[in-house]
Amino acid sequence: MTSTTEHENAELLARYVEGHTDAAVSASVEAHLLGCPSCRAVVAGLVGPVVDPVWSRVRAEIAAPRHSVLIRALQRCGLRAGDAALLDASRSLHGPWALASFLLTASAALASWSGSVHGLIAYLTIAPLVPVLGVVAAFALPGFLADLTATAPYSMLRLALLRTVAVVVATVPVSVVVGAVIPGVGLLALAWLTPALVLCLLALVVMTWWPPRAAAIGVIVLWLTVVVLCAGADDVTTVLGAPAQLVYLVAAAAAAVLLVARVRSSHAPGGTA
Amino acid sequence: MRTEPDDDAAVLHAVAAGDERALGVLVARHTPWLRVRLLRRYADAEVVDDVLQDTFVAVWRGASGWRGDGEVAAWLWSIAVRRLVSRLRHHKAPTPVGTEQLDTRLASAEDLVLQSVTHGDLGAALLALSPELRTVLQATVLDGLSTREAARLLHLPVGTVKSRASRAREALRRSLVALPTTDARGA
Repeated sequence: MTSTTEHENAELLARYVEGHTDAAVSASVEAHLLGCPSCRAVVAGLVGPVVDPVWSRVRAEIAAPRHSVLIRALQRCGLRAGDAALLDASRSLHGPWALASFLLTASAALASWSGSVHGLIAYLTIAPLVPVLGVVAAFALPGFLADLTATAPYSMLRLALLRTVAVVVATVPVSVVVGAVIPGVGLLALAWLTPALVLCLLALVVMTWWPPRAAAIGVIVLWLTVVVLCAGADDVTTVLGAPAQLVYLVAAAAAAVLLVARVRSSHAPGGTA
Repeated sequence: MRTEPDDDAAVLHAVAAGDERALGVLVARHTPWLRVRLLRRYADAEVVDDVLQDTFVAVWRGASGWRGDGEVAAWLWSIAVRRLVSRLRHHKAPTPVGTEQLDTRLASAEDLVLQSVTHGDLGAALLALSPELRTVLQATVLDGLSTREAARLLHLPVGTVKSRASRAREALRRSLVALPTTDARGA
């Protein structure tokens, strides 16, 4: 269409680059630049060394490994770049965690499939413990994460919560799906999430006093006691009924407050801060 | 007049094939003018450099999303101005979106008109607009942003952008109609 590809003269381009052109002229120059490589080259000669900084940053970013879909989704929700890197580092643990939760939940769900009360008890007992075991494992496992903990300039609470998130993200969906597709479990596949939350927070709190292993055993014993008491007193499903859910939420809030208080006084979960 | 061989399209194909040096060529060619134009929209060099980085990273990851028609420069601008808008929405580091979602229609009729008009009637009419109306017109018509995107860029409610855009169009139309038909610029 533009038969007259008369190039804006260098002086006009210089005035544009310096910001001395009015809105109409600027718009005209900008429209022209879109279709004119030689005028773009003139602009490049006028602006000084702006390319190298941009190029080095672009190169650094495309050289960095890309985060997983999950981490990028979390980043979109406001996760910081450093936290993303940390979560990505612990991604290697997702596989074992997911497998463990799958096996545990599947066995429990299969047990309850038979329709016996014992099967249901097994599911209700094991499912809330899966994320807890994952959280404890995140602190107890030797290796990369432990080294990182020792050296990273991280708030310990932040680190603890990040690990918990990583575990929950890796374990909970699998457990829910497995529970939901097995007949006989139904809504219970979601109802155990609140006790699981309480147990996770509790485990973190206990780990500010005890080593991870001892904390895990303590929390497991506590949960087993609750299940057994409910099973002995009444229908076992009361352990996940509405009144119980309320108790769990209160307990979760209390555990969260306690955890924050403990970490504020520089007791980090997992010991040796 | 001879136009220089514009092999941006070829460069972009090489980028899509994973050639990092081709991306370097693209960055060298297009960073200067993109930077100047972005700084016109948002006068913070730090933010603009972040936007440029986002833009070329998005190109690297989505170069295959280029449809192969139209100016590469116009496509780059459409990515850059949207990256700017998204930077302004959440000031933390945004995640690059796939460029395939981006609209590449930019060399619009308005551009063609403006390309031939500098100090003509349209230019005068544009300058006669109040700054509020002009910035809205610039964001929506010239930069090819949607109403929602323009609202974010200008920190205005969507409704305000809509009403100002229609007022600006109306004002432009009236002042162009009011002028004696001196358009000797030829058809």
